[in-house]
Amino acid sequence: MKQNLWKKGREDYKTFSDIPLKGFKSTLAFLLSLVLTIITVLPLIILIYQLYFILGYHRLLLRLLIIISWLMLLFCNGLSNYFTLELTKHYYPNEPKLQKLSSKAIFVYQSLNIGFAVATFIILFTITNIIK
Amino acid sequence: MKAYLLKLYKSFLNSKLITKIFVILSLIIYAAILSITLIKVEYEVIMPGGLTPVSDYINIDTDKKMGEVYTVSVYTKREISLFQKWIGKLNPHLDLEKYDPKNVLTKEEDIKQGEIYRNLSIKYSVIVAYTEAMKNNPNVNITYEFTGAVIYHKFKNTPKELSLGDTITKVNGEPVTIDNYEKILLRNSPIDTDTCNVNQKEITLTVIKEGKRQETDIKVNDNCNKKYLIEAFLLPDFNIKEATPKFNQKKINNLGPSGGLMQTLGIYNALVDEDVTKGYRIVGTGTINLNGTSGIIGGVKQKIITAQLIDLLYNYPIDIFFVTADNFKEAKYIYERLPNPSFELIEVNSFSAVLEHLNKKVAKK
Repeated sequence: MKQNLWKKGREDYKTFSDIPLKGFKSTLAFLLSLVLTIITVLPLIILIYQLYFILGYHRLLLRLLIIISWLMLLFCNGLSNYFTLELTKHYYPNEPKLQKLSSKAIFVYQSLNIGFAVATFIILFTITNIIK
Repeated sequence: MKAYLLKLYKSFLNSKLITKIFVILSLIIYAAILSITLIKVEYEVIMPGGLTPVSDYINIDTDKKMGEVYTVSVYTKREISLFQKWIGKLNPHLDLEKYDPKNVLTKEEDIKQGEIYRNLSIKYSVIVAYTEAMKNNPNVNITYEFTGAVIYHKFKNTPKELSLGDTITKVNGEPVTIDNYEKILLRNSPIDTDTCNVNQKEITLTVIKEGKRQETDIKVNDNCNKKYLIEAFLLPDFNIKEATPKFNQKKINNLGPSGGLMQTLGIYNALVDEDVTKGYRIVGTGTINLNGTSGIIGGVKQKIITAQLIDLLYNYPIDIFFVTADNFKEAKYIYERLPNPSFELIEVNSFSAVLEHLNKKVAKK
């Protein structure tokens, strides 16, 4: 079931990218989706940040925190794409192709986006090693 | 955006009861997490830190190595959140200490104080190690002179004209010496001006401030049956005029005086012919005084845990952990509760006690 949702998400995302949208509202939807994502995960960001400060001395706990941060990044990627599609649908109600796309499927696809996951994993571990 | 949020609100109103409960619970959790992470409490948390080789503090111009001698540090963080306090209570590695924000130094003063402590500690280590090494190696020599009393801690009644790091050299024209500085400058405890009548008198201090000598007239409290004049903590400072072999202090971020004992050991080992460490990996904590005795330090629990974690997490076992006698009881309590520590915990009250213990040991294979 999840596999299907992921595949549907991939197809929907491709369709979404191919739809030509006129005006500035698509950019606005993108920017607002970032704001909404940050507001949604803000308590968790602060929580993780504070944990880094007092548990960072322990290498295993530090690695665990990095993995949690990485999973949160994946979740944020999914969430921001979900909000982008939802807001775009709201701003372009007369686009039939757009209205048919599934925000949930795109959320699942982007949360489990392999390319993004690998890239962020490498970046996070590189930064952590540099800071260390 | 507003219309979109309104749409979300309407869909919430039209949703099933279970969805409404879920959304409301999520919002409560959201607000709760935000609250516990944003509310600050007047506690500081002390955490395990790391090991620093003595060779990172100082370089001695000799071919002889310092050996595997390390100082051990802890991390502290003030102004923690309620959430961090809870984690601190749950984590046995951490300690929480309440503090009064009115009586603590600013962050800048805290760093400055740590730097003063560290720099004086390195000077004391050099003097003690060179003086001890001179007994065994005729090629080692050191000459130094007392320069004054350095202010390393201020209180709320410390005269405003005085800053951390100032060196007081004269009081009313009378030179401050290593023998009299405590008598003519120090007060044994801060005055509680609310409970006693305070008369003020003016004295003239000669002070070296940021390298410049200047005379400063200051008013000091002179009552309440207190013995001393200046409400501040002072330490003697020295100018090392000549040292053979030469040494140079390196830039390092570690703060405080707790590395004194191990710094002395590392420097001494670089000056004498034999390897007094006998190949052991040595960690220790304790300040060093000019007479070679070692003094109390903070965060001993976290320092013992650091030595254990270095072994467990980095597979870097420590052989010996020297701890100053003033902290030994607390250190032993923690040590006895460690699962299979790689190191032996040794109580010492002076640098000569460290050498004595190492002298008895057989060289490590």
